[in-house]
Amino acid sequence: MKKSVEFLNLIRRILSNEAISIKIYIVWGLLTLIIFGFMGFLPVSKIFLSNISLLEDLYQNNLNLEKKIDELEVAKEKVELVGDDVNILDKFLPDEFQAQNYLVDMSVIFGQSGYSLDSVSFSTKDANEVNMTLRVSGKGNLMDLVSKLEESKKLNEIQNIRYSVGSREDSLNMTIKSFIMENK
Amino acid sequence: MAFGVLLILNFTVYFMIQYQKGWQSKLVEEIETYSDIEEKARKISDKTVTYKKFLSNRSLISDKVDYIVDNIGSEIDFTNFDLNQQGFSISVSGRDAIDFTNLIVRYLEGGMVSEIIINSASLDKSENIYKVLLRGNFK
Repeated sequence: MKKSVEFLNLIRRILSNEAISIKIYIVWGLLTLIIFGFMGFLPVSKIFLSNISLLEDLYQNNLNLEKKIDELEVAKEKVELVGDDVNILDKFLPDEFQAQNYLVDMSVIFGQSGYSLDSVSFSTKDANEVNMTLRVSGKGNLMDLVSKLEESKKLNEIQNIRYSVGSREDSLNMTIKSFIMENK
Repeated sequence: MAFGVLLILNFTVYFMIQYQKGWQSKLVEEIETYSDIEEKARKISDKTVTYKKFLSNRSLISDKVDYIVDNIGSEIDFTNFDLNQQGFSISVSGRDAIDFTNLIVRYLEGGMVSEIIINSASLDKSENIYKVLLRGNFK
């Protein structure tokens, strides 16, 4: 306690000397400027600038997100609007190959054109294609049949037609490529 | 003084950043509620684009069938034909040889066939019928 009082008195004596105290204050001021100016002000300025840039990015991102939400809202309305049509689209371009669906469609088309389906075999060449080899007989309208197959909403591409005219009924062999949606 | 102002500005910006982060969290949560819609919309879009692509890329054969069959005419009968995207072969029979020449001319003049080759020709004397096998290539 006594030592600290002595030390304070020493400080007071030194500071009461104007010349010395001015020097101390100048050094003190310079140190303050160095510590806060270069070691404090500069880093804080850098943080401030990076925060400003971050704030701008966040603001822009949020605006984009709001825009995205608006687009999703519109998409939702459209999806709800076409709800049932999506199933029709699935029918036109199935996600997977289901032989029974093709058999029904083909039988209907052949029947409408005056032919009957004798046999059919399926093979998948790649993920997007189903190849059908069909044997058909009857006395029908070939051109009507070909048109109906190509106008079918299920996308068909006739690869080959082999037609033989018979006395009672004609025979027809066809290779048809049908498209399906590739499963990703 | 300037340092103090800078500190205040820093705090202000910090709070603004926190506000933006909070807003972003809310927006992300809201977007997550649309995840099934986005997936469904993407699927419909992909399927529509693929359908249109297949529709425009596929090769149609009905015009070629019509062309081959319509040009035969009443004076000639065909017994069989084999047709694909590249070409065709057809077996025809008739009583007059000139009818085959006319048939070939019709095929070539129609503009869809680039060449016609007579693969074989024979005369069935018992019925006095010419039997001709033609092969053609589409343009």
